[in-house]
Amino acid sequence: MAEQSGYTVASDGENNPVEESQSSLSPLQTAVGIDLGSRFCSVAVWRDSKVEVLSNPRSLRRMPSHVLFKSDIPCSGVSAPISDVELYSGTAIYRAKCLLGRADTDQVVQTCKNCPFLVQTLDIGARPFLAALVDGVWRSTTPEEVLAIVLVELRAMAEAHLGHTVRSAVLTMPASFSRFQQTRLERACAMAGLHVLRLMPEPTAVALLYAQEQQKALHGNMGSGIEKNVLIFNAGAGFCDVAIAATAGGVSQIRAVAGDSIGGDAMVQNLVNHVLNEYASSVEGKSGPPFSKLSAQVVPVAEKVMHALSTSASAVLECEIHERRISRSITREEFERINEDILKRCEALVMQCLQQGQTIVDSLDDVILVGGVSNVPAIRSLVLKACGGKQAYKGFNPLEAAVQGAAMEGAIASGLTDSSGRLDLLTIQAMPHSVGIRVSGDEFLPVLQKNGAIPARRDIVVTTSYDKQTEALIIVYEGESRQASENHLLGFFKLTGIPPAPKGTPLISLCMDVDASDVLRVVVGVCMPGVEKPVLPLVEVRMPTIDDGHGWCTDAIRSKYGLLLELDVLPLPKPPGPSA
Amino acid sequence: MSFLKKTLLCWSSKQLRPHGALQSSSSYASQVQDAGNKRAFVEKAKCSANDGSHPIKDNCLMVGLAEHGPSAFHNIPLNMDMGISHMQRNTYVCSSYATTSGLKSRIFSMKLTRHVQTLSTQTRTSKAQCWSCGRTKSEKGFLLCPSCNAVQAPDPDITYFEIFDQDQKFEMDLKDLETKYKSLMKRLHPDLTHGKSTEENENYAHWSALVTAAYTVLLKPVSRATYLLKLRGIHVEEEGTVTDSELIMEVMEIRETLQSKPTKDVLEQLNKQAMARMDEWSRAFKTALEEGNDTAAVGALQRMSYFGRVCEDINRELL
Repeated sequence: MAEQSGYTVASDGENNPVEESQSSLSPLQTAVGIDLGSRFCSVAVWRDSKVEVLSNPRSLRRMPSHVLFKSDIPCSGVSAPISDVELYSGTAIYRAKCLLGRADTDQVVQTCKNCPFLVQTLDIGARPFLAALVDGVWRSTTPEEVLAIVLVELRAMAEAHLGHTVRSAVLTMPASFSRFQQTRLERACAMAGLHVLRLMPEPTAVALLYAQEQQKALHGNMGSGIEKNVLIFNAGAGFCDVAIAATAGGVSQIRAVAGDSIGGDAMVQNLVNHVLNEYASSVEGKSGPPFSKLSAQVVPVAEKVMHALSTSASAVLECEIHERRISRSITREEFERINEDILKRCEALVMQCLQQGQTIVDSLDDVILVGGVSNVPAIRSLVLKACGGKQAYKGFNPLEAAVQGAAMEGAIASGLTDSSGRLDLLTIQAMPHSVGIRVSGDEFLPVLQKNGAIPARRDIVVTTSYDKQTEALIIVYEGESRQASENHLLGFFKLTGIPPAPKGTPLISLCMDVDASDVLRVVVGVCMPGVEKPVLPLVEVRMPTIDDGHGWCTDAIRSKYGLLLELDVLPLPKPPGPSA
Repeated sequence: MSFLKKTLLCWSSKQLRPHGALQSSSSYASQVQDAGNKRAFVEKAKCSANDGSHPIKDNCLMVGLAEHGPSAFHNIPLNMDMGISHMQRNTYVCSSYATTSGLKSRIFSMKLTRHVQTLSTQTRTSKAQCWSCGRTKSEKGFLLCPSCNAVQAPDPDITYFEIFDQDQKFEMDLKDLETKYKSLMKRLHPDLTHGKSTEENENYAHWSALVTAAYTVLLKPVSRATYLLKLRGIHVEEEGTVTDSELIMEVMEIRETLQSKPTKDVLEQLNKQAMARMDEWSRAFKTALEEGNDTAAVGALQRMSYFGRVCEDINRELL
């Protein structure tokens, strides 16, 4: 490749705007690690051979990640303290991470409508309308913008600590994030002037930290490099993730990863709904503000109750509804019963991970519980029980493990080495979701399987579905359902100019490639029997291509084109040989 | 500029330029020669298939394989599974065109993937020499050049077993495999290759992709068995149909039970049963392979994949 001195256009106009300027920076500038949670955020960096979690001027290492739209310049919880009253007045926006990249039909978006700020939906699969109340005016914003404000302040904070500009970062993300949501997160970083070096699922960041601990222990007593299997359970306010990693010699391979968008917020909401329903049945026919508005007042109290229940067997929920004082004692058992559904889903995640990682509980060496919600006794005990009654690993601060892991990945991915060998680590990531295409109606044909090691690459051959078909639509989905439409749409493109031939004759070769930075590319070409070269120029598409995670796109395509652009799997001839 | 983009640009520039537009004339010559070899191969296959005097076309692909050895296909290590099986499908469609087109789809998908770089990197310098210092390659793996420590392009002839320094047999020490996989990845993962030249980074990317693919194939008994047979020149459709009525009955029964919303105990019982059958046929496969009984091996493998899928279904229900 010739060295050109002219301008280069970044592959995507939106993302990674600062990449080009990186070469002018010092080569050993370390990327920071950022854990941007739905309620709290933190930033850490590798410095002087160790991870340092940075603190803000108020000496907080874990800062609330809401944004307050009070004055002209919105500010986040990183720089400015905020009172509970302000937080729930509608002026502040939180849970932006839960709203990120979701359509308004999404269940998570629907539950966010209980929040004091405005989440308006049309329930058609478009983006929800998000606004904050500023001086009596609803001011519109987007989840990306809200996250970008938090990120900018985190970045400024890190720069103040480090004394130089911070350009790149490793971010942790929930394992359940779709590729589309990942692009939205990258977009938020780009808005904040940060280049995303890596996005890693939260439990895998913890796995990296664990790998380092193992290495340290190894250096200490010169034991042998035995493999250790570890299950990591991470539950925060908005998301719950599980991963299984096999660690040996500083390499941790992610065997399986799974996630769900459930967490502490949902548990609190359940508690609030429970109390309010009880109240409603006690005072029937009472008029007043609708429940959804009421619930915002009860949420902060309910949150405190949940925290209290982590340490004591019961707690009292006190609040005022319709000028009536409510004092309700909640026991731990009751709280667990209210949230039975969520507990079940947490357990299902752990079981799913164990099964897909083909790990039997006896082979687990450690169980690590991190994240604020992992302090809930019921969750703790169910995870530990599912893992065969093991004790929880105690080496980490459960609230900082993810950000520390991210900072280490930042150092490793920036090319830093450490004389003590502490950065001599590697995480082999796994695909959090299967990626494939739609064939034969609504069938989902996975090309790259869930939990496969990254980098991954595989190609398949599909063909036309009727005689003389000249155009075909490649629709790429991400997910595990056998029905394509139930999965997450990543994008689509049309192949045109396929030479007319009987159905099943043209060979449409489709290759999917996920590189080490988790970029997905789809390359498609058409071959005809008896023709030496591909008959059409290859099409290379970087996914996702759609600019919103909407499902109605495919519906629109189907109603317009029907089966006109259908693809089929290559017909299976009778297998040869002895089948007895 | 990131490594990713470099690779991409590099790739796309190679894709877009006409064949001869690579840097040096020697590389051009060798590339043309390389392409020529392949074309000759294709032509040969086509001729043998189109020649009316030979009524049997089915084995023409096998002939091609035998003549060229596995090398023609090892250029595409990652996609081998799918590709070969499609090729085989086409072969047995008994269409002469299908045979050659299957082959072409292989060559074509080589172009599709970035393995085109492997080819061009190899042709740029002689295959038997280090691209950096010119030292002659001695061993087959030749991952790092012993004298200049530069990483080499993967040897197209290397088998998945050779990558992990394993004997070419069915039983495998999975712990050992995993350890070797990890230590290889530690040296090859693109995350860890900073400050290397583009050439080296490309080689690292190829190696890590190849090693990952090899690991994935060798890890699971069914894919390992399929690959073993493939190395012996037998291409087995994993999803091939089996006509053994006893087997079909058993599988049908299991599936029926699955659909009748069984209890957890029943499921676990079923799982045990399927696992036992899996083990049984794995042993049968091993024995057949050792005895060189290919027919029995193919049968055993097909049964293994049947029960493998049944196990998956049961496990899905168990959740």
